[in-house]
Amino acid sequence: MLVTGPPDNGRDEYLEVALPELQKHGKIGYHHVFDYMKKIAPSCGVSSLKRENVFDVPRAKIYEIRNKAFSQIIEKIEDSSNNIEIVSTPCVFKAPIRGDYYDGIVEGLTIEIMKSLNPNLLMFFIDDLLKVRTRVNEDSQKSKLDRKLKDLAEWRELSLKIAQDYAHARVLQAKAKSVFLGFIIFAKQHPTSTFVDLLLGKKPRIYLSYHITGQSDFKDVQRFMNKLKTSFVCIDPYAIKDWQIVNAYDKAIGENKKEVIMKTEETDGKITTDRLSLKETQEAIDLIRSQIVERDFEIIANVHATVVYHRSETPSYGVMVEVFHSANVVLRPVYVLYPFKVRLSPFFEHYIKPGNMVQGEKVLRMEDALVRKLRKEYKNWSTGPYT
Amino acid sequence: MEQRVTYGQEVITREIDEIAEVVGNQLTEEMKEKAKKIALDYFGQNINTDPQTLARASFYIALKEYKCDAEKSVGTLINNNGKQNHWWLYVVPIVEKRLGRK
Repeated sequence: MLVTGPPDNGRDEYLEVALPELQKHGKIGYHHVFDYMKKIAPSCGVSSLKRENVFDVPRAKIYEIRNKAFSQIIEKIEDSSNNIEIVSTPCVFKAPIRGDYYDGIVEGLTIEIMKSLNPNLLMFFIDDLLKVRTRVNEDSQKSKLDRKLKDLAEWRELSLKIAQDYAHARVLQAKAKSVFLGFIIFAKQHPTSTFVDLLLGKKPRIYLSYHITGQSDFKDVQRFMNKLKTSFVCIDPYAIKDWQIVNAYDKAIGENKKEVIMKTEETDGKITTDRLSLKETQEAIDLIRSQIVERDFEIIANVHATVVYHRSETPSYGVMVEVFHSANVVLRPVYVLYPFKVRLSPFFEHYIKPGNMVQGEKVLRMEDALVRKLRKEYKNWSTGPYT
Repeated sequence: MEQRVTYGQEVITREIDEIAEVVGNQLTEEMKEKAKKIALDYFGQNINTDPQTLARASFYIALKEYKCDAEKSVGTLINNNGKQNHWWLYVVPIVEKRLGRK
């Protein structure tokens, strides 16, 4: 399995917590590419390779060290008896524009490297842009770089493009020797149990679609997600909080403010406040908005089914489009839980297969009924992996 | 309903003709017709399917069956005449499964 993504998204610190949990399920090999590079560097004429001096080394030399690191990792994996091997590295780095690094880009991964690794799961790991911004600002090496919100969004987009190109080619090789379980865009806010389930690849993956705009209390969604988790891997689109930037920006515009203020509730219940200038947010906002949509579409294409928790009588553009994309474009089965008496819009109902909607008033019972239904029907979904 | 079916069928036929033109003239009429048949059969039973996505997926399946180098055409299929659509990649296995080819 290959875990990649843009740098400074907290990939390594997440893996540190998730790996011990994963080790309960078998022998795990973990390969952090930069650790290999540091060991190989002296044999390539670089006496000491550190994060601080990496961009002082000529680009060709860095690529030589990187390629040797991957060759060593592949050799180790081939000789290994582990149940799961995890390779972790960023897709692409942004270097200070100078000398050899005239375009400011350093590839952590290439299509050729990914082909050699031949992972059966490609995880694109991301964190909230605001958290990445904080990390980058705290990092002395990266602080030499342009660190505006727009740059971070562009960095994420560029990284995703590289991972997507490889993943899309692999989707068509389903008959190949090793089964490609998929390409998952994975947000750091997901619990480590979700990461473990994804890696084990035994539970079908579900995209949980629900109303986000204008909502603040998600306890019901969390409760339903916990029920689903016993049998499914539940991918939560709100695990990445780009929506907060969009909402805070709209609010600032509406109130003629020069500052965009974002309050985020952390998993431990603490509230953090981030402040950005209107100008900086404005420069990034189009990219952030389009990434919300593109990212969710890509996740939907890589799950086995979409489940809608329709927690409001009013419609949601996001939910409607996610249903349309699931049912109409990538042909994923769609199930809906709708805990209200009044029927949904006929436009919405049109895309839901008869029998796939659980409607009524007793929400807890309905949640259980839908989970039972999903457990009964998942074996017949047309989206199962080839074996 | 009938109108939507006709519209979908038109989109499928047009899309496959356009892709065939871009992919190259080594493709036989028979192969093109095969791609259309795969798409139209599937569409007949699933009229909510996006016709453009289905057309591209069916074209790829037909390419493979006629032993054309399907891999080489992936880029063209994604970017046909500037109209981006990579979702068909995810539809290929589903259509193949339905056709009993997997």
